[in-house]
Amino acid sequence: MNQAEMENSLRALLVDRAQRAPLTEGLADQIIAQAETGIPVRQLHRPNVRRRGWALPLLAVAAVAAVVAGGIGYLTVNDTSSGHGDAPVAKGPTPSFSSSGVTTTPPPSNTSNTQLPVAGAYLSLRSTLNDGARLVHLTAFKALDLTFVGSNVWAMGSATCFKTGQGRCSLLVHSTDGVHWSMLKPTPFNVADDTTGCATVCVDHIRFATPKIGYLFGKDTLLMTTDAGRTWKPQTGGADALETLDGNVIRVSSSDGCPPGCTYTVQTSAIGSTTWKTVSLPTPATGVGVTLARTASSAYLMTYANPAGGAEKETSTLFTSSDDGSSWISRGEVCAQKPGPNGEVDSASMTGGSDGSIEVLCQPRKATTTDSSWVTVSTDGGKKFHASVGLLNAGQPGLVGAGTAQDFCVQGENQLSCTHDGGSTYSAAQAVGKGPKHALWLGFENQSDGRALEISSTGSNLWTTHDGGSTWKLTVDIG
Amino acid sequence: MTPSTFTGWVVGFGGSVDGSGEFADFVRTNTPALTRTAYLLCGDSLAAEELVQETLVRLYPKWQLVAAAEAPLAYVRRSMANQFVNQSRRPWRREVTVEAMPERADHRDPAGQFDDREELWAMLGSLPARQRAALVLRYFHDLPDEEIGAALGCQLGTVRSLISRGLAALRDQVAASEVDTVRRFA
Repeated sequence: MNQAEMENSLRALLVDRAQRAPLTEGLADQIIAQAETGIPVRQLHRPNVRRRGWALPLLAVAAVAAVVAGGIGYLTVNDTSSGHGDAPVAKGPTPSFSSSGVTTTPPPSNTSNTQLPVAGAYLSLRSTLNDGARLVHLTAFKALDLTFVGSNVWAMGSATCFKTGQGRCSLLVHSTDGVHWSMLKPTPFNVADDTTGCATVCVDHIRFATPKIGYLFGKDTLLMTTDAGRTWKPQTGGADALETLDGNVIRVSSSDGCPPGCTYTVQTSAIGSTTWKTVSLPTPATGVGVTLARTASSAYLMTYANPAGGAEKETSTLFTSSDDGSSWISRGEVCAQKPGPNGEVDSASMTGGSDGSIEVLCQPRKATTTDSSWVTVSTDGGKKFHASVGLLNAGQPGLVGAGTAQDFCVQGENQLSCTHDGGSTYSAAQAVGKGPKHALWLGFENQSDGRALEISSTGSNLWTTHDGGSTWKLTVDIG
Repeated sequence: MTPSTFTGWVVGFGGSVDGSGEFADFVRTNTPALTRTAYLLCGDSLAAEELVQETLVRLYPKWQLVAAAEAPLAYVRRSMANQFVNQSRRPWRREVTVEAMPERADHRDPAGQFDDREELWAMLGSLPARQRAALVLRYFHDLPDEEIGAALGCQLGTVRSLISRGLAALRDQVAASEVDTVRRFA
C-alpha cells in the first residue's frame, strides 16, 4: 500500500468511525451541569477503567426481622459499582415507627446549614477504584441517617437507581460544605426504605469517628472503613446501636433471632480497631430495642421492652456509664409509675443533651385519650430524674431530642413540640409547613442548633433549627 | 447512566459565568460533533465523552473568550485535541504495551487493497497520542499544518513529522500484517 492509498483508507476509516461514534443522550446536560456546579475537573472520571462489579444474592425478605429506626422498610440492591443501576428485591415488611435501634449522639458539626442533595441534583460520583469522578443524576434521594465530623457530613440512604425500572438503590454521599455532594462508591451494603426489602449486608445507620474512620451498621452487619469510605471491611457481628465519641467506640449488639427477646451485649473498641472488648453489665440487658446516647465521657443505654406484649411488666431499663462505656450502672425504669393495675409507665425514648443531661420520654403503657406523656430529666448522670410538669399528647410513637436539660423537643404522633423551660411548657414546632411533623431522627449539637429528618414514601426533608426548636427551616425538600 | 434520567433539572449551586446561556446553547448544539472527534482521538466511547466533558468544563470559566473566537467550534476542537495529548502524558493514561496485537482475522485477500477497517482502527489506536491526534485533525478535519500545530502546541516541522511518522507506522503495520497473513495462508 502506497502513501496515497493509506491516506484514502485512513480518511474512509475516520469518516466511518465518526458516524458510528456512540452518542449518549443527556451528555450535553451533564456537561452544562458540571460546568455550572463547579465541581473540580480533576475529579473527572478516568476512562477505560472497568470497575469491579458488586452483586448481592437476592434473598427472601422474610429472613429480615431487624427493627429499623424511624419506620422504614427495607431495600436490597445489586450494585454494579459502575453507577449504572442496581436491582432491588421484594417488598419488605410494613413500616412501623419505633425508637428501637436509634442512636442519638448529638452530631457535632460546623456545617449547621447542611443541605442534603436535592431531588434531581447532579452529584459527582467518585470511584474508589480510579480516584476520579463523573456526574450522575440523582432522583428521589431519601436520607436514612446522617453523621458529621467537623465540616464533613455523610448521608446514607437510597435513591432511584440509575438504570430505568430498577427501583431504588442504596447510596452514600459525602460533603465537606453541606452543599456540594459526592457519591461514594462502591457501596457494598444495602439499605432499607419503604418499598423494598433487604436481605443481606443490611445497614440502618452510619457513624464516622474521624474523616477517615467510619462505620456502617445494622442488626447483623458492621462495616468499617479506615480510608474515608474507599473500602469497607466487614467486622464480626452486627450492631443495634453504635456511637463513637471521646476516642472510642461503643457497640451494642444482640443475639440472633431477635426481636423479640433480645439479649444485648455491649462492647468497646478503640477507633478504627477490629478488636472489641465485651463489657459486663450489672443486669442482663434484654428487650426488643435499644437506644445508645453519648455526651463527652458519659454514655447512656436504654433497653426497651414491648409495651404491646403480654400481661407482665414491660418497663425499660436505663444503664449509664461515666467512663466511655467501660463500666455501667443499672438505673432501672426511670419513669415514675402511676398507682393502680394500669399504672405502668414506660420509657419510650431517651437522649442525651450537650450539657450531659438525660431526657427520657415517659408514656403510660395503656394510654387513653385522656392520658398524657411527659419527659423526665436527669442532670446528675442518671442518679435522679425529675418529671417535667408539662404534659404532651400521649399518642405514640414518641421521640425526644435535647440540646440541654432546659431545651428539648418531643416528636409526638403528629406534632413536634419543643420546650425551653425544662418541660414546663411546650409549643408546637410546626405551623403548617413551618416545621417537621414526623421527625424520624432528631438531634441537637448544642443548646440551639439541631436537625430533624423526615422520611416520606417519596423522599426526605431535613429541617434545621438554630433556636432550640422554636423555629425550623426546611433546608431541602429532597423528595 | 441511563439517558432517560436526565430530565434537565440542574442544580446551580456552583455559580455561573457571563455567557453561560451561550455556553449551554453551544454545548447542546455541538456536543455530538465534538464527541465524534473525541471518539476518533480516544477510540473509546466512554473516554470520548469524558474528554468532551473535561474540555468544555475547563473552557467554561473563560467562555466569553471562546465565544469571541472567529470559529468557536474550531477553538474548542483544538483545545480538545490539546487536552487529549496532555492527558496521555499523565501516568495513568500511558499506553500499555502488549506483547502481541489483538487476534486478527485470516479471511482478507492479501493482494487486494487494505480495507480491513477494524484492523486499521486498532493500528490507529496503537499510535502515540500526538501522532493519532495529528492524523485525525488532518484526515478527518482537513486542518492545515498551522492549525494542527496550534492545536497540539508544536512547530510546523513537528506537525509534518507527526503525520509522516504516523502514516509510516500504519503502513509498516499493514505490511507486516499482510506478510503475516500470506505466511499463514501458505
